[in-house]
Amino acid sequence: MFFTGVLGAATDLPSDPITTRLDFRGTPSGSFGLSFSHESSRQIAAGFLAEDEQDISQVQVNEVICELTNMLCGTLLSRIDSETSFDLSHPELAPLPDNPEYSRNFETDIGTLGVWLNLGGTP
Amino acid sequence: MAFNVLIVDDSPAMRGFVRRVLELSGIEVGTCLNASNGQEALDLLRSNWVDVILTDINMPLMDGEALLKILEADESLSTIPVIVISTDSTQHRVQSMLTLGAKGYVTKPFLPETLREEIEKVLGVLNANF
Repeated sequence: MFFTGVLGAATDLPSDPITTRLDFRGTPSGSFGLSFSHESSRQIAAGFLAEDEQDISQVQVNEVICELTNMLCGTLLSRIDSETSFDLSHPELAPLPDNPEYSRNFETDIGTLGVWLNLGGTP
Repeated sequence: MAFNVLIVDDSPAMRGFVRRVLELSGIEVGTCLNASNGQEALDLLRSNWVDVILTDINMPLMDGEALLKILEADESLSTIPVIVISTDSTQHRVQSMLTLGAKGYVTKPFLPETLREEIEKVLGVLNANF
């Protein structure tokens, strides 16, 4: 599935990244998203789909990145509170928010991964 | 014996991944049907028999929970085993889906072996009933 090593913290995201967003309702409510370089996202999608990078479309890349957002957000929320359920919206490509409450960039085997989180939406 | 499978997930990427895991697992798959939500799944089940259903929970139009309720209430469909594949690993959700009738629950992300073992567990039950 999605497996890549995290090498450590990164400072900057690549310019013009692919960014995703997913809203969740529960305790807490909020928004979550990822940022990748185009190259990294293509590598991830190729690995997930078991296809060569040159054989996959941008639509497929977007689908895989959205699914990855869904998985990571679900995993994160389950760890925040494993007793109650959250309602997740469908992940989509969306611009990076201006000032996310929490934001971290990670250097991975295949480039920089950005993760952002906003808490405090309406439950 | 080949088993017919219905994969229900609104993500084409995930449907493709699950199908590939099935192909690589050594489980003999006959027909592999795809639906992007619960309603599409029910439409397919009106004219196709499957041995096992693999379904996501969070989907548009009809989610996995509603699908399970309808399957359980339908005499002709309630015998089809359902395995839930979801990002939601909260105890509340897992217990809720199992109570509604799901025979297995796999949390995303998962290793291919995990899904294979869950399917084999359910199909093993099927085999034992033949």
